Amino acid sequence: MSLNMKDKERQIYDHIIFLLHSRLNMLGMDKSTIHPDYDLLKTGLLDSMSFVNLVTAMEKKFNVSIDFELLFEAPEFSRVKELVKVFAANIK
Amino acid sequence: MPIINKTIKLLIDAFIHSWNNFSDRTALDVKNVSYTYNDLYKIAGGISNCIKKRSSSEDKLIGILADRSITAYSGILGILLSGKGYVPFNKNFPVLRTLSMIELSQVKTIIVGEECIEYLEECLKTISSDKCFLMPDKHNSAPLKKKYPRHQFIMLTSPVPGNEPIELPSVDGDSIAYLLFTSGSTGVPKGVAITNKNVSSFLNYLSTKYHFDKTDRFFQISELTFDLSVQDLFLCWMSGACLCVSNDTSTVTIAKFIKEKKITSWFSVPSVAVLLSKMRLLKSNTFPLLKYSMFCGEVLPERIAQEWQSAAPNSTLINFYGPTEGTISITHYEWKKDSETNHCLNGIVPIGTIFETQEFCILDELNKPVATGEKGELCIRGTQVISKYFSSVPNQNDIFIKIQGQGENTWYKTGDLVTSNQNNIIYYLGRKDSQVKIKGYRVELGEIDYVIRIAATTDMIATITQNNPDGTADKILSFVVRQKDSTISEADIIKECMIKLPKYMIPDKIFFLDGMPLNSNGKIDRQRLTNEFKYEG
Repeated sequence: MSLNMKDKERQIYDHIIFLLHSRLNMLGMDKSTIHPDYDLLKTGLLDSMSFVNLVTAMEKKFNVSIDFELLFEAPEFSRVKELVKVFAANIK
Repeated sequence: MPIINKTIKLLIDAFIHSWNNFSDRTALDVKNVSYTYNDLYKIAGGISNCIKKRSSSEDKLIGILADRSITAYSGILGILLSGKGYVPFNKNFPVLRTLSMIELSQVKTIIVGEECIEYLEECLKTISSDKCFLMPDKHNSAPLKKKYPRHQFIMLTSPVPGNEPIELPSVDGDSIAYLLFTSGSTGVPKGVAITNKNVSSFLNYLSTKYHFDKTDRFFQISELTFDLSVQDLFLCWMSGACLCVSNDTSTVTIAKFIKEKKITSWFSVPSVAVLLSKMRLLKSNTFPLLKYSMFCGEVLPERIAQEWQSAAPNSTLINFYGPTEGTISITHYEWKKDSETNHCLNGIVPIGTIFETQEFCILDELNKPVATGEKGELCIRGTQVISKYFSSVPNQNDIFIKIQGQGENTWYKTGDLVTSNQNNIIYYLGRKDSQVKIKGYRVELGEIDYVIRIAATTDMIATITQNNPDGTADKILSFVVRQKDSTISEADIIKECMIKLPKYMIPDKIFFLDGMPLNSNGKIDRQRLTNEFKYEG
């Protein structure tokens, strides 16, 4: 049975928070900071390499392969909601 | 109009050469605005005139706090045109570090870009001596003047009009062209002053060895506080080519930029290529227009060289090596397209042969030359190599040495362990101390320990790097044994690091241990820490 869109997006969002858990802890930040509009790169929470590591860890978890070239077409690709959208569109 | 041969004596000559020959060609593409050599010359001329009016002839250095803007590039040229050397500051560095760099360099005048005003305001709260800030022409400095009356805030003058002549500098080759700071294990950055003679020697060699011309488009990625940027700017301008600056400071979108701007010359640290590889963006023939692919600053994994060559099949791939003290790079290795014929060691591309204009030797622990094929410390000398640090550094006499039987020449001991073969090809093997390269930046792990030691009030600290499978350093891990009753947390330590260290030096993870593992000599067993602790975050 496949997940409906809302459940899928919730699951992706939760996994992003899970992957960021250690980083947030280290910076003394609360997970509630990571709202859908939060920009992972522009806020400086992640650098380029950590951002790519996050995306590849999510690919592994959801067993999908993201086209990075397409991902970067979105002007705000490093916002949480944009990542959620891209993964939701790729997960069957 | 002065005519300058392509062999240059001063860093500014590289630009003047192309201004003389290609004045209407595009020199700079920044924030999607193009500037010809003449446009840039006039803007820089205005800045130069302003500097001459405002600074004393005794001030040999001018600071520049600007980032990826027309002020950044014209500011550097303006400083050089005025006969001074430039000291770049970085808005991404903690304020405390920048203050320390201002203090050590003793600059009295600093050019400020619009994009750095907010950061300047933070610095102004603690700058201790009177300074003169050259501000962007549209900026209203009245509130700053009122708040900080001890400093001067002067508007940068407009470009020089029409055909008004600009006097070229009359300094000699021993004058400083730029001053950079590298990590120092005592917590104080080390100043490396590169003279016009040092950098001219470097550029003259590269421009003769390789073939760049006015049709080339150079990619500018390195920050101005990193010496790779000097090659980006001046090799480009010496060739009459166009320097393309990405708006986006994030490296993830680079591949798109390279294609859009039709870049022909790439120069970066290998970490950027590793990132593109991770994103699966190094597919066959992705960058067909690249003519030169140049890497420097850290080890280049063989796998990445192969992937890159396949993605940029029409380019000559060169692996450069050099410490800041040797002016950007001093050895080179041209990757052979038939990768079978490259003799890599431990999966790492050789750093190659010394530039034909410089010298090297490999010494043992007693400073005696080793036999060919033996391991030892790489030492360099020549017109590119400095003979002392700008500021006082402990044990300088152990770093800049005379070698028995080699006359009065001063050699720089790089701290890099290497070996060489009968063709004088040099292979990098590692460091003899705790200096590492993180994303190309030189980092003394001792400097991180120093900051943590003060924050955690304990001496039981160790910092190591966690490497990628390719051998490039990926993460910084610090280990702390807390004092009894100490409640200091990981977040407390990181907060302190963020105040004192640049982002690339902040540990990715702090582990709290009950006791530090020691080896049989009673020293901290770093190998055991490396083997037992991994961080995947």
